[in-house]
Amino acid sequence: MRNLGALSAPERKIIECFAEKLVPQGGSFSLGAKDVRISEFVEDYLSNLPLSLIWSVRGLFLLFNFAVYPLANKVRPFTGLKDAQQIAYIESWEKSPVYFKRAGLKLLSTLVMMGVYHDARVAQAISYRPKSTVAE
Amino acid sequence: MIRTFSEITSDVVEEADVCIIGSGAGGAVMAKELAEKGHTVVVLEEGGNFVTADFNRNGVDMIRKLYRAKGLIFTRGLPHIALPLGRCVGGTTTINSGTCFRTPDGVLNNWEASHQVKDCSPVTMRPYFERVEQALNVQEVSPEQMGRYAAIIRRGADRLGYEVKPLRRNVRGCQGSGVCAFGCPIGAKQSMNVSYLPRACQSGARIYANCQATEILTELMKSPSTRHRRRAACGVSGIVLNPQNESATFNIVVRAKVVVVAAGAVHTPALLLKNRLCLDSGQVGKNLRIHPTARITALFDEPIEGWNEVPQSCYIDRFAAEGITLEGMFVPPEIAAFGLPHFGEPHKSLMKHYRNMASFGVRVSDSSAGDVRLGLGGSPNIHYPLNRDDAQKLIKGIAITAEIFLAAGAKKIFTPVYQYSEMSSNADVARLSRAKIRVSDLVGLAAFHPLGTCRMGSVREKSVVDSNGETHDVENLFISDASIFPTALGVNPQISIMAFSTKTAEVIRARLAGPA
Repeated sequence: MRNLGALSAPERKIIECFAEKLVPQGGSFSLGAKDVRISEFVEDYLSNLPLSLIWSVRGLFLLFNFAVYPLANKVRPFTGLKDAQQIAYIESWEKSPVYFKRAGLKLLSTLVMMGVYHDARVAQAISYRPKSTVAE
Repeated sequence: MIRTFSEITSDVVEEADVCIIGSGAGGAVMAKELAEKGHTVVVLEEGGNFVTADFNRNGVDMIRKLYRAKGLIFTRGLPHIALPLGRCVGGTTTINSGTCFRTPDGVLNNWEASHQVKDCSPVTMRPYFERVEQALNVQEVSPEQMGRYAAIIRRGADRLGYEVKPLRRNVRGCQGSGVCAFGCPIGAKQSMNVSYLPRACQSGARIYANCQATEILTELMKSPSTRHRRRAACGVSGIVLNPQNESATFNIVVRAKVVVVAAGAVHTPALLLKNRLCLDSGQVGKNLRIHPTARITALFDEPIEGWNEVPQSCYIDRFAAEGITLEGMFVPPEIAAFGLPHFGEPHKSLMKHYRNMASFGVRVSDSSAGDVRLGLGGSPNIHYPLNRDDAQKLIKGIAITAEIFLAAGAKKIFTPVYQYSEMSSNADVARLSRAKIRVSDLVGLAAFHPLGTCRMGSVREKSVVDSNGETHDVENLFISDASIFPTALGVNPQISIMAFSTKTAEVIRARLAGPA
C-alpha cells in the first residue's frame, strides 16, 4: 500500500537526466549527481509521504519531461534532448516569468540538491567539515 | 515513561486526569506543570522518540526523522512557502534554533485592547515568562559563540549604523555544533525532549510516541451553574503508527477529565475540523499567520565556516516597528544548495566556496492571513496568499540585508527574488528597492511560526478559546499552542507558547481541584 512512491524506470531516467544537468561531474569538484544514486535517494525520500505529495512530485517530474513539446517546440521529451538542449530547457524554466515554472523547478531541484550535497564525499569535496562537539 | 511503537503490543486503554495531544512547546509544559502537582497525565505524540545520540548532524537524515512530511510542507497560494514543522517528541522545539523572545509588550497590550483577551498584560505575564526562562536556562549568546558570520554582520551593520544584538537562547553548555535545526547532537539546546518532558516523566506523566490522536471524545453533561446540557471533552482516541510505513497497528483510548490540544497551529484546527468541534464561531482554522522569511546568502573572499557556530546568534530589530526583523540563519550545504541560484557548473562553483558564505534571514510580522482547511483524508491544507504589503516588507528587508553584507565586503549576494537572485553592488540593491516586485517574484520563501488558527478572546463570535485557553464550545477542552495567538507576534514564538501554557495549566489545576 505504501509503495506508491516507487518510481518507474522512465521516471528514474527523467530524474537522473535532470540531476546530471543540475550537478554534472567534473568542474569545480569531480563528483556529480551520477555518483550519488540520485533516483534511489528521491524514491526513498518520497516513501511514506502523504500520497498527494508523492503524486505531486512524480507528476511534476513527468510534466517537466513532457512540457518540452508545447513549451519549447521540440519533438522529444527532456530525456531525449541533446545535452545543450537540456541545459537550455532547464534554463528556460529557471528564468521563466511564469511563476509555476520557476516554483516547480525549485521543488525538483530541492530534492536533487539535497540528495547530492548530503553525500559525505560531496560534503568533503566542498570542505564541509563540521567540528566535533561532545556533551559536557 | 515514554512508550514508542516497538513497546506497544496491543490496544491501549488509559485513564488520566489530563490527556494532552502533542509534546511540543505547549504540550510539554502543560504535562510537566500538571504532573508535578500530582495529576495523572498522558501525552500522545504522533512523531517518534529520539534521544540525543540519535541526532547525527546529517541534515537530510534528521529532516526525514524529525520533520513532518520530511520537510516538504508548503502553503498553497502565491507564492508557495515552505513550512517546516517538527513531528517528534519535543515537537518543533527539537528542530528550532533555540531563539527565545518574550511576547512583545505592544502585542500583549493589543490583544487585551483589540481582542478582549483578559489577564495578558505584560505585568500579568511576566512571572510566566520568568518561570519558563528559568526552567530553560535562557541566556544571551556569548560574544565567543557569536562566531564569524555574526562578526561579518556586525562589521557591515556598524558601517551603516544598525545595532546588532545577541539573541537569547535556551541552552546549557552550547558548543556551537551548528545543527540546532536538526536536533542538538550534544543535548545543549533545552528543547522539550531534554527539559520539560523528562521532568514530566519524573512526576509520572506517560508519553506515547508514534500515537496519532484521531478523535476527541465528548459527552453531554449538565452545567452546574446554568443547568443546561453542554458538550464536554472526556478523552481522546487514536491509533498507534508503525514508523516504518506509517500504517495503523493498534488503537489507543485515553479517558480523561480534561483534554488539551497542543498539536500546533496547523494540526490543532485540523483535528477540531475533522471532529466537527468548536465550529460555532466559524474561526477554527482562520487567521493563519506564519511570519514569512527570506534567506539572503553572501559570498566573501574570507573563509567563514558558519557551520561551526551558533546558526542563529544575533539579530537587528531596527525595523521591528515596520514589522521587519533581521535574524541569523545559517544552514548546512545540503539545505543551502537549493536556495542558491543557477545550476550546473556555475552552481557547483558557488557550492565549492560554501565555506566563504554567510547568510541572514528577513522575517516579516505578517498582515497576510491564511487558513487551514481539511483536505483529502482529513489532512490539513494550508492556504496562505502573501499580500503585497508583506511582500514589500520582505523586499525592504532583503535590500537592507544585502546592503549590510556589501558594507561588510561581500562579493555577491543571493536572494529569492526573481531577476534579483544575484547582486554584487549597491546599484543592484537600489534597483531592487525601486523595482515593482510581484508576489510571484518570490520563490523559495520559508516560514517557521504558524499561529492564530484557534484564536483567543472573550467574544465567542470572534474567537475559539477564552482567555484561559478553554474552548468556548466544549467544556474541559483546552488549546495550548501557537494557534491561540490572536495576531502575529513578530518574534520567535516558543517562549510565548510556553508562558501561556504555564498560565493555562494553573486554570486546569484549579478545575481539577474542584470548587474551593
